[in-house]
Amino acid sequence: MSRGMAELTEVDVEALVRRARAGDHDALGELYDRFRDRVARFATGRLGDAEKAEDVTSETFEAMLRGLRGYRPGTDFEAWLFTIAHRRVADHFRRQARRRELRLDEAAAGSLPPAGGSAGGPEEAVLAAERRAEVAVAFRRLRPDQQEVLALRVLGGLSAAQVGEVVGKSEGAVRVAQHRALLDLRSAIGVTVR
Amino acid sequence: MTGERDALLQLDRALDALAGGGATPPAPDAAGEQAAEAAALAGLAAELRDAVPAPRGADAAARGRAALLAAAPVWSRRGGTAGRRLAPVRRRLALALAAALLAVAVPAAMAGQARPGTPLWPLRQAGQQARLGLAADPVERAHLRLNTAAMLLDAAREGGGYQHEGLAVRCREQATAALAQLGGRPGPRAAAERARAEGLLAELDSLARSAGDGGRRGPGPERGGDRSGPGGGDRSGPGGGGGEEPGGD
Repeated sequence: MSRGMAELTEVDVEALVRRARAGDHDALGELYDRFRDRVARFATGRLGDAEKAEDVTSETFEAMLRGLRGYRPGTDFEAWLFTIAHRRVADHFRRQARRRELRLDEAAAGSLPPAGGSAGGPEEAVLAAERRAEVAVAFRRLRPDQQEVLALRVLGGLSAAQVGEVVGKSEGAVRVAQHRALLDLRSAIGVTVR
Repeated sequence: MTGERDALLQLDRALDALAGGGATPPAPDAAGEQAAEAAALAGLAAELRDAVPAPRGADAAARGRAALLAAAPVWSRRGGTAGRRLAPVRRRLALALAAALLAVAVPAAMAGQARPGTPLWPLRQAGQQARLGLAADPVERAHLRLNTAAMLLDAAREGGGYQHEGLAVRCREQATAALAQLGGRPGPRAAAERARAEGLLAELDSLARSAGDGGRRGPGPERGGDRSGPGGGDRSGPGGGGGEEPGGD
């Protein structure tokens, strides 16, 4: 099993897409509800900035809306949607490189939103928040292609096969890449902690 | 090699479970170092997921949803792709063009068969006027006038009362105008048209007499002969009456 969450909802998603293509607003809203958080989380992971991630998320769904009739039924909708998000993130980086207005590490450390509350007391909450910040900073230190694979796989919730479709790699190559990226992430956290 | 592949698959399964909504990676299904390593890496992935939550500032999702749905009607009207966006416009244009063609072509085709006194006769007459205006040759112009006169005569024969009188007068106008245009022009075509005009006038006189309407005749000489072709001897020209250009109804 390599399609993860997608396999559970594939039929439903296809039906929703068909209805949305026919102009059904409810189906469109449901598609948004179903995928918005995953796309936003992916964008946040890649951009390290909640506000910019919101912009990219909106752009992604606008592009989905425009391209929905061009989507071929029967193909993987999630991979298609995340390919749009992937391109929007790449566009953002290109614009950013032109403007040279942001240092990614600062953005990652400074503007990632806090996660949900900790189950423990205030001290545990502080420690948990510190740990999350370490993980986030270490993630930003990975190579961009590693960040991309982990963002799609872990934050976007795609299967290895779907990630492969988005980034143009085989499923096996994605498995290797995600393994390598997590090993490097662990090493980067160790460096950060020291 | 197999061990490495197993490690990759174990991690992949753990990440699938995480993507499926698991808060923490499941316990590895095989004991040993590889399984423990896969579990540790999946745990790290879960931490990463927790460290990067989806942004949820100030109803951002609700705003995004509303914006998307607000944009949807525009998209629906336009269609999805550029080609489809144009399709309704093309369809409307094609329908409008077809309707315009029908509006012109159908009456025009019907008018081609219209007889004097029918609703489409003015349309047919307008077409005849146009052809008359385009004809540079006086003999050709006379020919066209005589065609009209022949139709008017046929209609006058079939009609009675006021319609008969009006059609007969217009027939005479056309025939005499044709004779005036032919004048003393030489040549067989001119002679044939002249004979045809005189034949029409003779028939008109005969019709007028039979209808007891002899007073409506023009002051020209008595005419006889066949209206369909060259007839009797030398004619000096129209006796008078109705020399103006063919007018509209």
